[in-house]
Amino acid sequence: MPQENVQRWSDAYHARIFRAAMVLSGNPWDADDLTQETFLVLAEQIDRFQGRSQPYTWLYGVLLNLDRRLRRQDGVRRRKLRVLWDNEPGETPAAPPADAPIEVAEWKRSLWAEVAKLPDGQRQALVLRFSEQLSYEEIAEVLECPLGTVKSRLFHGLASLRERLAGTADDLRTAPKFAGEDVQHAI
Amino acid sequence: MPSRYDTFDDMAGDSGPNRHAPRVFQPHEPADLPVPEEWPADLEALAEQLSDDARFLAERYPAPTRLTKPKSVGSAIVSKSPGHAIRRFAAVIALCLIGGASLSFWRLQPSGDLLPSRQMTRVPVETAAGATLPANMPDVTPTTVGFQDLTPPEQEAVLDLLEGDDELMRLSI
Repeated sequence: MPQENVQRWSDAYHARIFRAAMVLSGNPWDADDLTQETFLVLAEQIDRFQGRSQPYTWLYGVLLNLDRRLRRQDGVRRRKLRVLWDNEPGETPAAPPADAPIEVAEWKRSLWAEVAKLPDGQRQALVLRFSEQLSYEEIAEVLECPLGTVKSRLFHGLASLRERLAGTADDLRTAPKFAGEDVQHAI
Repeated sequence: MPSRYDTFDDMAGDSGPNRHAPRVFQPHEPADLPVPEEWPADLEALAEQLSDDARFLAERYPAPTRLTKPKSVGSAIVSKSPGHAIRRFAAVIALCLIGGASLSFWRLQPSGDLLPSRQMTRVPVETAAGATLPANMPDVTPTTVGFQDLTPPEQEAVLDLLEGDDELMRLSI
């Protein structure tokens, strides 16, 4: 019976999990990996599902944990590359460095690129609410936190996003595109 | 649907879906940050924009078609029974044993003790320089040995091995 559930839930929730993974990761390759890993955890640990919540809220919880682990590993790798890059003598690069994350253009132009810079709690609450359209109660189930915390994270996450966007608008008016690039030269 | 967790204390002792990962929830995070009942219009607009962007991304990058196992591969795997592998393994062992027995038989051949019937005629071999090799030099011509050429104990060992094939199959089941 558990193995039947694995197949049934994989068929039913694959698209939902991939959609959330796409919003979280910013590219379809990582999204696909996250989705596959989520259902791998489902297949291996389905006995841990006790039926107290909906299957999809359980799957979202697994996905968010995997996403956080991926970001942590990615952050360590980028920091190492950054140290190597900074210690390398040479001219200022004219192109983005190799350790820049891979993200598709549509995602980078969307608000989700700014949401990705928010703290984990706010970021995940925003994804579950405005991408996955979960109710406050379902988000509380997924994030394992009280209802008040969910509302707080959503409100303050949106407020932080608004401030970031205002800051980004100012930066775009003043900052050069790459380090070392002079605005006058660009003209 | 009411939440399972109305207070932080309700969460104690509960287990998350992934045992390896730390909780998203941080105990030091204040749960009672002020949240107004009515959200400002600009935040509502932001929320709307987030939903639109998510919808657009979902349409632009739909979930890939899930891979299914090809039927031909499945049938090929099914047709390979466990007994098949055991039979092949026993055949390889039998061949090795026969090869080893023939090799040892060939090495014992110069002494003449174990040559039963097929005495080879020794002919002096002339080298290119015209010199003649002594006739008592060990013969290096490889001989092929059939089952009939094996000694009775070797034949018995081979037969035992071949009979053991079925027994191995039974044991594996």
